[in-house]
Amino acid sequence: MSEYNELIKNFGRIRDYMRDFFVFGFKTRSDFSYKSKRTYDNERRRVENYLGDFLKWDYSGSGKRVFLSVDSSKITQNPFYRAYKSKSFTKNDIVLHFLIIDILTGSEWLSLDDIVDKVNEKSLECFEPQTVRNKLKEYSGYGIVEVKKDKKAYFYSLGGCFVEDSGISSDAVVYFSEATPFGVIGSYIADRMNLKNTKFVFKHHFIVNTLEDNILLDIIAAIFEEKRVEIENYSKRDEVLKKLDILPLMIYISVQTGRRYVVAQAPGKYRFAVYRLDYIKNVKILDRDENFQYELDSLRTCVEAAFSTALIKNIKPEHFEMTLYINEKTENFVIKRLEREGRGGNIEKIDENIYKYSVDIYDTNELTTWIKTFTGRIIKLEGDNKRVIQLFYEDIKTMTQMYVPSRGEGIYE
Amino acid sequence: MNNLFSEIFGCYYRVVQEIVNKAPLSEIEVQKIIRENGFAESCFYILPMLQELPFIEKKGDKYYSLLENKIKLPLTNIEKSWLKAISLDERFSLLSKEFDGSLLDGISPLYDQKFFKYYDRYSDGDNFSDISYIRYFHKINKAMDNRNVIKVIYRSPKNDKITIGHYIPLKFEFSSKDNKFRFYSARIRNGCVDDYVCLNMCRILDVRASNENFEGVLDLEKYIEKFEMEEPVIVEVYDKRNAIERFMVEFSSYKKYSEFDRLTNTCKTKIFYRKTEELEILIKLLSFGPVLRVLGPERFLRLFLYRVQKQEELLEGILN
Repeated sequence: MSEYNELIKNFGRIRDYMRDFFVFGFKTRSDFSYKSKRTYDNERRRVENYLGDFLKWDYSGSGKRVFLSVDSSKITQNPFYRAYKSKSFTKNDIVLHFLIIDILTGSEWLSLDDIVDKVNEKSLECFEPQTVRNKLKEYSGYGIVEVKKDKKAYFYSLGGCFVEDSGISSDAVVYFSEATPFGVIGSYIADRMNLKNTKFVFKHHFIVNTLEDNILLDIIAAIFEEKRVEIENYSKRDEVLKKLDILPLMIYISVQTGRRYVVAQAPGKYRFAVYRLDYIKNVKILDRDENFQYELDSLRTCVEAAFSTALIKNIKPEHFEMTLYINEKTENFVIKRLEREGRGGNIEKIDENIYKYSVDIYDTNELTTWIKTFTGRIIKLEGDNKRVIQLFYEDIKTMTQMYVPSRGEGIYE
Repeated sequence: MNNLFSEIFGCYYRVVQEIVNKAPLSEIEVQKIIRENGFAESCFYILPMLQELPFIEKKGDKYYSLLENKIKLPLTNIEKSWLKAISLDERFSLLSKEFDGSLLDGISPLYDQKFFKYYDRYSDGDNFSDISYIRYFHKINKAMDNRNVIKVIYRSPKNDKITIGHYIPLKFEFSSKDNKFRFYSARIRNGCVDDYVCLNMCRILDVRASNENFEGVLDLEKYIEKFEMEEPVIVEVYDKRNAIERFMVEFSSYKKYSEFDRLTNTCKTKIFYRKTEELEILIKLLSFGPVLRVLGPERFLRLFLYRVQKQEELLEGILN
């Protein structure tokens, strides 16, 4: 008990646990082999503590399992934001925080000596000037405190930008807290304004993405400054962490699968590489790369001819065609689907109730998932990549054997 | 100093700020603040901590603040940058009319929308910059705040039929995949709630505001619950082509219950859903092909089987 505290120093400590509890939900204590059993117990208790009612548990054959079961369209605020509010601090941190804000409130510029005197007077303790100066420097970095130098002395005052003065509406804060990257910052502002969401619900809402926002923050900062980064990337195939030096160019977001990637030009590669944000454990910002703009322009041309994350350059795109049976009288919505989901593909009516979707892309393999959403309507597939087309036919054969008794082991009559 | 994880945003600082700003407070009132703003076990840690803070004094049952001012934290740089970024979002004008952008002059946005590519977002999303769309949104939002009845002229998605109805808007729904706003509302006929409906913002042809208030009982939750299917879809996902991980992430926005069988390396999952989501779930499951198997319920299985059989028929000459 003495070692346990509900606050934590490093968010990365609980990030993977929360993700596993939420995304998988079937893992038991023994599956969390990357840490000791005791660590697991402590982190599970913390997550339980932060997320309260959202966390459930039960016993399966292999032991107790903890899971987060949430209908994302019902929640009013992303529950993971609560975990962001668990950073530990020292007694000095909290004492200096409140005393400095109190001392600077309503005061003009104060010197370090003035502040130190007042802090020590109010705290009945003896803070070293260096300790107070460090806190003021830290708060100047946050933008809470303003600093000016007059001759050789530094003077400090409280930052002058308050949320109420901005005229920002409650609706905007609440909505964007859920609907944009870094929404947790909106939740901090909502806390200041004592706001609760009673007006918005969110569909297709991948709340787990917020757990990668600290990683994303560094990558975005690097993109702004056209800098390279060193990432610690978990390789699922090799099950190891690898350090990679990459030039981040863009963030790719899938609103359908919930995955987010950084697209980068990596050394020695002939194509743009994508790295899932949830597999990146650490980011270190490196030096500026003069090639940033050239690579970004090059990537943009690739993006035009990509269906999703296969961003290959300098090769000829593959041609693909899918012929579909669509009952025009009753299934107009399928034609609409092709239009809105086809990502630049061409749609052509070739006969009554027969439509052809065609596209040129770098890797036909990327289409396979989407093609299968039209199962039950596909007359034929044609294109340069015969392997992918054959695999689709094989999959349909396998599915037929799975479900139709006369074709195999079918489970349904 | 851009870090999302800092004690200055933490719930302990928030609790202490609430206490010093509202003091004097009784122990029960302090506990209430901790419960409302802290974590489940926070009382256990915060109450002893308060005794050690030199700017809080406990006399008898009361907590007093020794600070001279109410504590009000200015916006941090990262908060200002976030506000700047959202103020540049095309949806911003729907939601904030009074915003004084000059306060953020010289502040760089935290991100630029052009850094993000939502590559599988549907292409027929709403036009958030359309003047009429913005005007309708504001009228609906205002009516939502005041519980006013509005008259909506609407083009129905089913047959493009024009309808005119009276509604009390209750909640906005936003879908990132569709890039669309919809709004739930109670339909009013003869002064009573006739039904609850969900209307697409982009299909609105006109909105006429009124000052007519509705005093009756509204229960949107009950209406939404009506669509919740009693029987979840049950699927078995196989450990092939990274399917378990793909499936779990893709269905993470649904309420689900999963079990993993170590002997067969398969995962059995129950997906809880609403009737209105049935087709979407069916399509999503079809997209996984043979790496998962739908086990039930029977009605859903029939829908799935129909698609598979139909596909086999269409490819008859090719598959053989």
